[in-house]
Amino acid sequence: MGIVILGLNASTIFIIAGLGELFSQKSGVINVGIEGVMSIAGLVAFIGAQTTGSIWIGMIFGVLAGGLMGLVHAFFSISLRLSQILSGLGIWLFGIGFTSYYGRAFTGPLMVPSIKTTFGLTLIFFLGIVLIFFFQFLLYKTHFGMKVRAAGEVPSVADAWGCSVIKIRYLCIIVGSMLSGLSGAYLTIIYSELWSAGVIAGRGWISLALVFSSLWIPILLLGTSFLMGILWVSMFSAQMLPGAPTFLMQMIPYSVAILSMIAYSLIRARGKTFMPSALGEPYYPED
Amino acid sequence: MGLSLQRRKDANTGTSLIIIFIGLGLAILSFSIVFLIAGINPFIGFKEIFLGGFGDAYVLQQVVKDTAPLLFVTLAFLLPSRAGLWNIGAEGQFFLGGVGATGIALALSNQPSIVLLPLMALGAIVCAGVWAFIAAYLKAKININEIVLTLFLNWIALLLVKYLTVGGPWMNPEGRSESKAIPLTGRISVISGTNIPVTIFVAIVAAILLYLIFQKTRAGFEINAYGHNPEASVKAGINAKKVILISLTVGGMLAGLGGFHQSAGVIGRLRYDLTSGWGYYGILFALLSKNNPLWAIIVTFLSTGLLVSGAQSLQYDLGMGGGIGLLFVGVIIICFVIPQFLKEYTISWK
Repeated sequence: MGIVILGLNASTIFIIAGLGELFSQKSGVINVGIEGVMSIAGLVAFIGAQTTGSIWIGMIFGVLAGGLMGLVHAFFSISLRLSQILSGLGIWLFGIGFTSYYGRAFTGPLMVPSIKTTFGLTLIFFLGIVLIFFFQFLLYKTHFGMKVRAAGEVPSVADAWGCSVIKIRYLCIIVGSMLSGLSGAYLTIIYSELWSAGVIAGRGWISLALVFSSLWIPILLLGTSFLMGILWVSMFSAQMLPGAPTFLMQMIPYSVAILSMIAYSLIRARGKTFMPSALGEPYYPED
Repeated sequence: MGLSLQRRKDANTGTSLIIIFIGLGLAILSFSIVFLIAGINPFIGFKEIFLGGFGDAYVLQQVVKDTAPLLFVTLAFLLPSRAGLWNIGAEGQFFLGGVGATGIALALSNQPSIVLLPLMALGAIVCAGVWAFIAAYLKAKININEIVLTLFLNWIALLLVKYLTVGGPWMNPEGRSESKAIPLTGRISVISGTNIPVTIFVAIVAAILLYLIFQKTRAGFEINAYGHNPEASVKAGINAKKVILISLTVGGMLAGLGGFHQSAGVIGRLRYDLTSGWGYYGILFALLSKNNPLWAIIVTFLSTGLLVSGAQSLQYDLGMGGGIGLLFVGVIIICFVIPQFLKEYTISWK
């Protein structure tokens, strides 16, 4: 049982960060800088919690830092029409550089009492589950969700309907990035309870891969995140010797993501799509 | 009331120069802020970057040594980019080059140099080429997004190298996180009197060749045409699949040569820090050189001096923390890409 609980706590990171990325991608914008967003939010949250002595104030700091990074990404990729990939890579490198440079002074364990757990699970885990169902409902059962999906599938048609693709994409990126920030904050101040450079350890990139393996459907993301969480803790659990085999296991999320992309592409040839059709494509209303 | 954008019709050399100066100005301003926050006089900071990049014969030698792998990854982005494709995978292809070279070296360690070195180079080219071909084939055949694909392949490549060298089959018997050493017969010779592997010449020749290919040959013309307007060029009889397969795969092979240089010329073994983000620096350098292979030689050399070596000396000589180099690269991307946009659009309030 123990490993399942540990796995669920680890999966919370992927659930929330992946959901943020999924929401952003549904509107047609990919953010490959999610690892950088999580690093910055994780550091800001850690500093916030360490200085105020409150985990929850730290969490709020992290979410706001994530939102700010989302605003930057939205400004670059939508207003300045910079390539989404380039903007994301810039945010990633900047985030890693910024946090390893400015975070050095804060390296160490968190000196704030841990939050309560229920059956070994924290409140954030349950929040993650609620968020999954909330976004599932929002995306597929509401008028607003339809607009978001339209912005990611056929932005020109969405614009013709009278919804502003620019506004929707801005909103989705910022909200999505706030979720990534929440995940980064959870990782440093609740899950690991420490800050060190590289503490995110590729989990932002894995979250990105999980979105590609989950058909862009929140409930499926919940499932893949559970599996990834279990995989993550079993890689680092005491029974397993450190070293070579764990590296092969860490390839799984990326390999599955690639295989999923191949599968989608083959199925798409028969007239079905999963991936938002306009993903990665800039949209210029006046052109 | 709001911002309104209009595409400029009259972008010319004059505006290009202004753009470069705006970019430089923004970069200098942002770096100054970083220095001031760190309590360092910006003039001393900039002086340190220049001295750390080009200050004396020794650092200059280091910079030339690092220019080779960075020029290879710059070209690895540049070539497919001419065809409108984004090869974000140079990082992984570089690693695969190291895997190919080291694998051959360890397997054939008793062969003389004359046999071993060419085979190692071939191993690097083949491994990296295959890695890039996976993305190229899937892009050409079923139109999978090459950007996301090459990104994921980078992480698999890094994990493959970790698997081989950290506790895996190629691990150093003394237990360090690196492969067994490449035998001395498998080391790339250096320019006499220096520690610069001769592969720097291969990188420069590759850049010049690419330039000539783009200028003079039909293949180069087809790649450019496809990059410029895919639909029209296909109608004009250009084979899109061939362009995608060749430009991405050859790009990957170039990155692989970078891995060969670094493992067999500099480090003498395979390590998971064989490249730490250099594959991504190449994207920036290629964009800064406007996808011109000749410019790429100069831009890569200058950027390597300032951003790799110069930033490192900030760390060692001024005591600024690790990560300062990455921070500067992130800042540079932002500083030079925003003015690019200003070149293409005019902004006005309405």
